[in-house]
Amino acid sequence: MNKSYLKIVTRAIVACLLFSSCEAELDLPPVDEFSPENVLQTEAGIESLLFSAYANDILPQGNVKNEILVNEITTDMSYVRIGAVERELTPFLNFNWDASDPFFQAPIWNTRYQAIRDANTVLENIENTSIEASEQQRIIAEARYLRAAQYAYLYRYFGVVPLRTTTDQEEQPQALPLPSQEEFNSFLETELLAAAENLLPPAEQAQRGRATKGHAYAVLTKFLMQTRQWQKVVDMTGELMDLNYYELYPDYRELFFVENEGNNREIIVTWSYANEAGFGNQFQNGAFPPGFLEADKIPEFTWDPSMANWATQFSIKDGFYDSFAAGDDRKQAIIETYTNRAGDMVNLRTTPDNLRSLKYFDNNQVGNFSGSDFPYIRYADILLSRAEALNRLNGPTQEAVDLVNQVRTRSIDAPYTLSEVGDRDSFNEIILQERSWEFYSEGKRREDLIRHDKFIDYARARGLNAQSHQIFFPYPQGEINTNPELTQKEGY
Amino acid sequence: MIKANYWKLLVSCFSMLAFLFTGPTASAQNISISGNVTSFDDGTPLPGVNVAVKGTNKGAQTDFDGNYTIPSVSGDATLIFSYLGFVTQEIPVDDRTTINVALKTDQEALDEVVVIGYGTVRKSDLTGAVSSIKAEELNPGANASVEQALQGRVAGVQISQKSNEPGGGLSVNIRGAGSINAGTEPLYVIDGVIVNNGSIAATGGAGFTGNQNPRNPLNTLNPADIQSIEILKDASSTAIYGSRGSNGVVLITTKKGKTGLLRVNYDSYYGIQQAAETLDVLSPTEYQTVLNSIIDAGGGDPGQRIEEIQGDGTQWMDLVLHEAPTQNHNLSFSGATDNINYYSSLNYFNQEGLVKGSGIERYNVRLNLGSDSSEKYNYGINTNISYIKDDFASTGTGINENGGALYSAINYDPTLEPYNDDGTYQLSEFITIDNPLAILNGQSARGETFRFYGNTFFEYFLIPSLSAKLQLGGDVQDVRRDIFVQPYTLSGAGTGGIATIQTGRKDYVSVEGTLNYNKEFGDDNLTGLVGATYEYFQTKSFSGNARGFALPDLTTNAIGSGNPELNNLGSGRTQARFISYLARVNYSLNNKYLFTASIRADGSSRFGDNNKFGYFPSGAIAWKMHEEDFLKDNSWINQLKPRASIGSTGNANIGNSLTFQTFSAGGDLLFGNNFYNTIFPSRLPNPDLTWEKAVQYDIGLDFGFFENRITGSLDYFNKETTDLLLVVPQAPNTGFTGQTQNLGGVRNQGFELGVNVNVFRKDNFTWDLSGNLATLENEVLDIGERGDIIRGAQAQIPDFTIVSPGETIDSYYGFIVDGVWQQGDNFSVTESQVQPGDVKYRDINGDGVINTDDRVIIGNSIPDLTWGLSSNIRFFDFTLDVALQGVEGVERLNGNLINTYSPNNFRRNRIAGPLLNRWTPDNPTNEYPSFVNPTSQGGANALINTRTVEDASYLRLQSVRLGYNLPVENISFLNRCSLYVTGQNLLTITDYSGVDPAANASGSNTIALDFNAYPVPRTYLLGINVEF
Repeated sequence: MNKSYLKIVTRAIVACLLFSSCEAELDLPPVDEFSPENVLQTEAGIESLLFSAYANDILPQGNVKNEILVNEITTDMSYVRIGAVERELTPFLNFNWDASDPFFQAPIWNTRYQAIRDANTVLENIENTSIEASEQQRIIAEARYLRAAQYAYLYRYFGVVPLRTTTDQEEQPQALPLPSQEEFNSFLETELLAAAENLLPPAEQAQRGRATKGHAYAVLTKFLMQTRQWQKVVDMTGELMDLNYYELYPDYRELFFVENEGNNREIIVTWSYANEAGFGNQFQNGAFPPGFLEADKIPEFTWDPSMANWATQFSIKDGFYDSFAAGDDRKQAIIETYTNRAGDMVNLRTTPDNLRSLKYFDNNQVGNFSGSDFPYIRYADILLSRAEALNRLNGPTQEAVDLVNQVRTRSIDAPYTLSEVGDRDSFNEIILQERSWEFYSEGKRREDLIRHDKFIDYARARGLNAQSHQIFFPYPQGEINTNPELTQKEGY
Repeated sequence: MIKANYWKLLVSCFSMLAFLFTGPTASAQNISISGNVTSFDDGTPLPGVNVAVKGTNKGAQTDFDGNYTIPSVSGDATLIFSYLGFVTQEIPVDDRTTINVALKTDQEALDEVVVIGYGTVRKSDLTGAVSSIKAEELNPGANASVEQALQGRVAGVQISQKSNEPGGGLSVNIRGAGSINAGTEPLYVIDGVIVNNGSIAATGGAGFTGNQNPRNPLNTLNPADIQSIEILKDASSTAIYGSRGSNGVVLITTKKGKTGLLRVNYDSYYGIQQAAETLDVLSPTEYQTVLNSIIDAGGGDPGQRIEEIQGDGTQWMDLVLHEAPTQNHNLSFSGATDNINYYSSLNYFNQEGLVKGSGIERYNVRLNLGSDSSEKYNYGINTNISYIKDDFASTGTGINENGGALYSAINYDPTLEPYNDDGTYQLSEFITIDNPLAILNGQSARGETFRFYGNTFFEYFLIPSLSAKLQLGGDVQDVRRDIFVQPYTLSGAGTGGIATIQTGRKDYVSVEGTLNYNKEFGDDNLTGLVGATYEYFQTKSFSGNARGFALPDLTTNAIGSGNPELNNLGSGRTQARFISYLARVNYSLNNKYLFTASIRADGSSRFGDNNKFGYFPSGAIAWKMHEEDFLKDNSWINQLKPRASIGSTGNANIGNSLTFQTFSAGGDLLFGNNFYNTIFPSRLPNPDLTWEKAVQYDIGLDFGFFENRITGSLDYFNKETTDLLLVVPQAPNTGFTGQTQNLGGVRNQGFELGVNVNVFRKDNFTWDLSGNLATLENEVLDIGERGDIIRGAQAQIPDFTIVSPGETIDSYYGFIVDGVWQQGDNFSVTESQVQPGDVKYRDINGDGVINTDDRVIIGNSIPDLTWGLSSNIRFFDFTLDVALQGVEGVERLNGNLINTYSPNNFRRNRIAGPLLNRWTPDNPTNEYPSFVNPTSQGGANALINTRTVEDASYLRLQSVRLGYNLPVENISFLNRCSLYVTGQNLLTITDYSGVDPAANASGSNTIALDFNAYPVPRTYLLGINVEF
């Protein structure tokens, strides 16, 4: 009996030693993640990766408000007070932001380069798949559009940024220098035009938000505006208009209603949000005044207790509101008075610069999350951009005035005449002002003022110590620290 | 023979004194002696007993049948019979050739055996820094887990309760914190099997703000089942656990049956807990006066003036807390027969929480069986089955609409009444915080944990000195959590209620084969161990949630009754394997010089392809000076044992998949109203990734003076952890912000002193005092080129700790407050918006602006000094046990003070003291600001300053127990009957202004933040212990 025990034990120990000597046992790839060998061979895998680029292209939840606020509280248009958002955004109110501001890093810079990474990975792997050729062409076009769109977006904040066109760090090391302005311009133009060729026409695109030819042209138009390539703006807006698809929505305020998101041809590039955690637009939470229940100007909407109303207050400045003409229906989305939950009428005018833009609301809002999409580029912008470019090239023309009137007369029956708009400079002023009325709470004021060389002057006029280099934001500190080839923008 | 002894003495560099003492003695006739050694108690033969000839190196061991033979022994020699756990006997030969001995078990000697990794050793033969705690030395009182019972008892082991909710998580740091990202919790080993610790299901469900500290996984061990706990602290004792030893190892040994008849023990207590301290917030009238006068002073929002107090207002905290009962019943059966010893226990433990709707209930069964027969084999089985019901109150760190019940009770408007006229919960117009009662009643979260762990082993003695042992261990933990958020709560309102079910399972299997050698050579002893182990870890999780309950009655019992379009699902599975080889040698030379060397080789699936195996050697020496002749006759020194050790250990808690290039499922993409799946490259893989490496040396002294009435240990240790798991920032232009690499270092060093003093030792009066004291200096040595790590952000509290070379890990990083701006100060040196009454932050760089550049280190969460003191008095049939515990030189960030200084919005309640004593033109204090202009400077970073980071040193009277042993000598069926009353947390002395200076809501051990701390329960227990 003893001997048999001995045998068992000895065998067990030997077995222990034997199986453990097998190092293959120690190779245990994660079972809840995809292995690249499998997933990148299939169309579903490639498309999911492309969708990750799209997901990174959409502003992350909570950042719609920052996109709007950073681009408007730095101007004569908006203001923010109280709460954590004020704490976050005080540097932008005071023109003393620096490269360490977390806003530049994760939400703006990192997610854009993640979209670029995803797009590059699609481009590098798609040839190894068995996806049918024309489908391949379309996916390639979307990936190139998405990559270029990130650079165009980043340009709005930082100017020229490093162009990463491959994930291969042998080919493009982490220390990635800046391209010249010309290289950058030409890359965007080439890529977006190439993408436009194989993208679907907007009429054929069933998935709202997914790239079309219109996306490529619109993004390029806006980039060309930023870089003041006026003739090309005229060409590109022409291409876009020739798609014969886009048109203005008849009613200004209704354009932004959640129920009209799928049935308008004005919004070209849109970012979709839903009334669900992780996918919500949160701008309205800060725009609601304290105890807000309803307002006469916004009869469609009534607040209910399931909706958040944040401590922080996003407001519209009096001066901007008062610049609207009396009959301009665009100002209907800005409230001066409201009824609070106690049933009392509250006048917001008692505090200066305390009016509220309720352009975005959703009667089905849940907690913090409303389903209002964010209209990144709309057709009205294209029309006004074309008008501005034409004016910059040739001075006031009937075509340019008509373009402005096309947008303006939707909201106020007071078209400009060619003689009324005066010379190139005064018409430029008029277009800039028209843009402010048209695009408030859409995060465009800062770039418009920069393009009109007024951004710094206006800030100084508000008593701020604004410096000329502040037309661009600094490269985020995280990139500066890790990319020795990138030097910080001058002045920062 | 004698010459040989000289030679050996010389070669071994023995002291000359020893040489002289063992000088030559005369002997005429040599004879051969044989005999049999048995156990006095039951007469069974004892194999492996050492039989030594006194004063020589001659000797023998008994065989399996207890027989021995020693040839050629002097007829007037003396034989020494020694055996672990038995009283050593010295018997003169007197020319006899047969000497049979029956050895008596030695209770005291038994206690001297301490468990070390993969074996045991006599306490006197220890070469490493090992603290041994017996069951009776544990903290008395209502302790849900073993760590609570250990708090303050061991030098160098800092245990603090991160959350005081029943069964709440604890932080246990042995000899400091040696890791930045890979965790600082020690390795737990129960009865020789590594515990797969860690909680499974997440702490929150959709819409529910759970505590970030998961409940303690060791709640599944009944503290009453514990026989002893050994804490392995230095590297020579932990290196045998290789890549998992660097944070120290806690070895838990459960009870075994003792020789004798069946013993039945019943222990039970019942008690009441109340909050030892609650935050003193503004009363309704104070609130009205203070807030209105801040508005008058130009602060707040004029539209939010408080016109009336509804009724008498509401003290919300009183509605959230209650006095809570706790009870425990423990029934155990134990005993031993010839071949089998057995211990089994049943336990029911129930502790309700001070916050309504929180609590823990445990049902625990343990069965330990062992064979300690004198046959050639040994086997045993230990099993633990536990079932735990957790009830969770919403007490997390969420803010605003995500705030928990305590958060809401602290912040909610005290001028409101709880209910509207229609009976619904009243909401404040001005804040997005739910009514505290709605949170309590409308958010329910329950957890059920079923856990089985145990092991079985079989040991076979090939020869008396060599055995082979095979051990199988397993640990299966199955968890289900049900969370339901009612539609009438703020977080459930929009979605028509939210139901979440989370399930998870954690599996662990280990197979271990070892060969053990143990042989005496005269005064020398050699023990050796070689072995191999195989371990497999797996965690599986599943989570589903549903919304839109038109009829919320069925909650998670019918999760399908929600709106199917709003369902969300998730699941995960991770696994890991370890394959290890280990070896250890202990050599005791002349019972004076002790040598230990060990090595473990660990291979793991977690390590990168280029580093699959790690090797962890250690060595230690100790010198039993008291055995030397020059001390042997010393009347007052009973033990003096200097020792030194050095060794290498690791921390393999580095994640399971960081070395692999894979794609992960990302968040969904929304096109219009439709969701699409996404995948993205998971990481920049690191094929070089390895364990964190720690090298520790330790110099110690064990001592015993005055008939061992004063005993203790003194240690100095220095532990340097390198190759820390750090996320090294990558250029974000790559699409990755970091790669996990091994880099940098942290050093922990300090002194530890543990002393036991037997003050009185009389028949009817004994008084034992034991104290411990440990200093700790923690310093980050290096974190590579990456620059300081600033981290720790919680909801709207910005990053508040810094990891910076030369500083303590996770030091608090913020502004220095110099006081309050006064009228007449020179305002030209600061920003234009600053007003009298604003907080005066120190402008470190003197640039006139308070910004991130003005932050400095303003404290840290690692105590410089931790201490514990316990006193045990027995006077006739009464006993009095008192335990004190404290920390010095530690700070804590008080999150509720942050909310007081800078409330998210105006109509919130705040801590009363600062507001009532605030700056006004008539009260130009430097203590508190005016609160008129709370965000004037520094942005969010201003929240972290020398006012909100407070001194968190404390002294706590942890427990007092008064017991009475009823005289039961005349009652035949009773062995013992004692009654006791216990008070816990009776007194805390601290300057800290929050409710608990030890609270930490962050979920990390070193990043410490007190935010809405669960109150410390002050507990009064009445108990009885009966043994039949």
